Amino acid sequence: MAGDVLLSIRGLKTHFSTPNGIVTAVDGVSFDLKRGETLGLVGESGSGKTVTALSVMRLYAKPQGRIVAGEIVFDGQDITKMDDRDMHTIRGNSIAMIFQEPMTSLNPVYTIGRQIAEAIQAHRKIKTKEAWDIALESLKKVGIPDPERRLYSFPYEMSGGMRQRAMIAMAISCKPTLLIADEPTTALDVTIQAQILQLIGELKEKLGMSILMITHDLAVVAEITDRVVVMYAGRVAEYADTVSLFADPMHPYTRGLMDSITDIEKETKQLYSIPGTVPSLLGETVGCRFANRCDRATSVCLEKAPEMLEAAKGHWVSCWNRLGTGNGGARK
Amino acid sequence: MSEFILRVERLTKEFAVHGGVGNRRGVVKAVSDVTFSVERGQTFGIVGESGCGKSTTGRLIMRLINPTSGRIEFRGSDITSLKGDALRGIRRKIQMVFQDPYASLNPRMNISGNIGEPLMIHRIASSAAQRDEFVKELLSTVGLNPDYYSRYPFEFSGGQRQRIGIARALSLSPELIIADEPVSALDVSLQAQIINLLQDLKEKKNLTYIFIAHDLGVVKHISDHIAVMYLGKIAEIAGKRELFSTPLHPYTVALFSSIPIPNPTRKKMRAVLMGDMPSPLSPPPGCLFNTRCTHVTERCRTEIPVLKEVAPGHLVACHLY
Repeated sequence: MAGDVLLSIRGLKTHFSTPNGIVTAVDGVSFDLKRGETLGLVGESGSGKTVTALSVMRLYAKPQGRIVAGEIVFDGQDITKMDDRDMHTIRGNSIAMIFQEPMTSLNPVYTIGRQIAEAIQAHRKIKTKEAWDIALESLKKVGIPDPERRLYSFPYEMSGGMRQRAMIAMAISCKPTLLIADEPTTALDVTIQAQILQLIGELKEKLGMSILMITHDLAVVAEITDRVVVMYAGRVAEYADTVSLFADPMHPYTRGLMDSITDIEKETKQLYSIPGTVPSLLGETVGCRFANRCDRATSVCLEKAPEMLEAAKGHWVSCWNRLGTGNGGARK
Repeated sequence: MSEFILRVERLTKEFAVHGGVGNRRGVVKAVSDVTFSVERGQTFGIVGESGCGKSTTGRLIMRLINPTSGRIEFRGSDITSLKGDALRGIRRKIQMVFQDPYASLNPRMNISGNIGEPLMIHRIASSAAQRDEFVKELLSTVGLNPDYYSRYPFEFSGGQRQRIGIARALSLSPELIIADEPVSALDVSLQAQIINLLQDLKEKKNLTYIFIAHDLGVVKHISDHIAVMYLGKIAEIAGKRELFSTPLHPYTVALFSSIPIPNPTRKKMRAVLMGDMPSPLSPPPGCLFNTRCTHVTERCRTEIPVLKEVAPGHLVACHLY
């Protein structure tokens, strides 16, 4: 079944009403996630990557937040049209999510075992004893040492890496087909990050999951994803398989991001920096949202938002003045 | 012969811990026996994971906290136990840039107040008008519009706030700036802006930096010499090129190998470090890294390795060398 589409997002717009007006946090996002693949969703703060994921889970803040347009088709069903009861059978069950900060997403006053068992029992009618057995199995799968004892541990008794493993154990306990990982390693030290990334990769193979990996870190994207969606200010800038995105970034923003990161295997004298800051997403914007920071912007960029265009096979970009293929690599 | 602006000798800071579950009592050695020297005009990087003592080291040098033992020498004179006016005099020369630009500015003071407070404390500016003039100049130095001087911190983005934090550190024309994770709260495109600004300022104002960070890529980019810390101790110190081409300490090797590289065609074989850092409340005997080290021997479990020079300027604390 590899290759067919598990999650398909088309023209998604998730807007929030605030006292100051409508915030267009996600404004026309489309991409597909194939079965068995790891898709990276990369962008800076405010790019809309988390809101996109929360829209898939229908977990965005309500009633301020609203999906105003678009569809999210998961396994043949449109999530945006589901009622809350049907959504409940999907959320945490066939789509599971892990978050950035494991300390704030675990309940501090319950043991790990109880929390995992509760999640299982929310979806399956089984006895508590059985749920605890599954919880123990999950803790073993994520490589927590001494899992029998850890079932009875409280979150504060565990290190950050262990908590993230416990979160992952909870997420996989209902055998999800899609795992959404929202910055799962951002709060962790690098040596622990390496452990968790390796674990997620192994579990994906073992359990046959697909992964939507949300991160701001291009290096993490390069390491573990098959394809990447680059988001900027609520829209998709570029969408391609990971190798061609890094070899031939076509959107000036993608290129700017790549030039502004440090690489420990390279010597760099001066880092490129994208001038300016992310625009406010209040209200409707005309033109390309990156135009005011872009060194390739022309008059059309200010007047009309670019459409997504397949510039090379499987390599989509939304830019009026995209960088041509073949001149990727280093700037200048 | 290059001049050392700062020397730190066997610096140790212990924190007493009590309370919590079962009213545990104990001592955390946050910084233990740390020795290094910083040459004038260079950037000295300190890297390590959370809890390795890198920030505590920075705060000790700044004399924000007092060391339990050890010596801090600045421009050849001992500043370890300075007090009062003498300490204030030294603080003009050593300034700090903090990690969180949202927490390190006073939200109820305008920018002129935030940046200019040191100028008033040290009686460099005698009136508010004079202070504002200084502040305007500082704002343009760090690439902000000087007319922003009367605005408040909430009106600025994270990157702009960090520029304000840098302007405040520069206000007393210091010689040494301790930057504690100055870019880790920022998005990558802004990180690059701030790093470039710090590098420009260093040239223009003849500054020396101690750059504390957990991000090895950033530290490598900006530093001349780098110290790697683990559980309060220095594991290895070397020049940047030397350290990255021939890392010696097994922890340094593991740390480097854990870093993801932004190139999908260069996926590397990685030596993933097992387990967590031990609790600093009950560190293992012998070498602190022995619980996670792949080269561990019996000697590592009993004898603490000392930092020794194995090549010119390359020091490592490991029994393998």
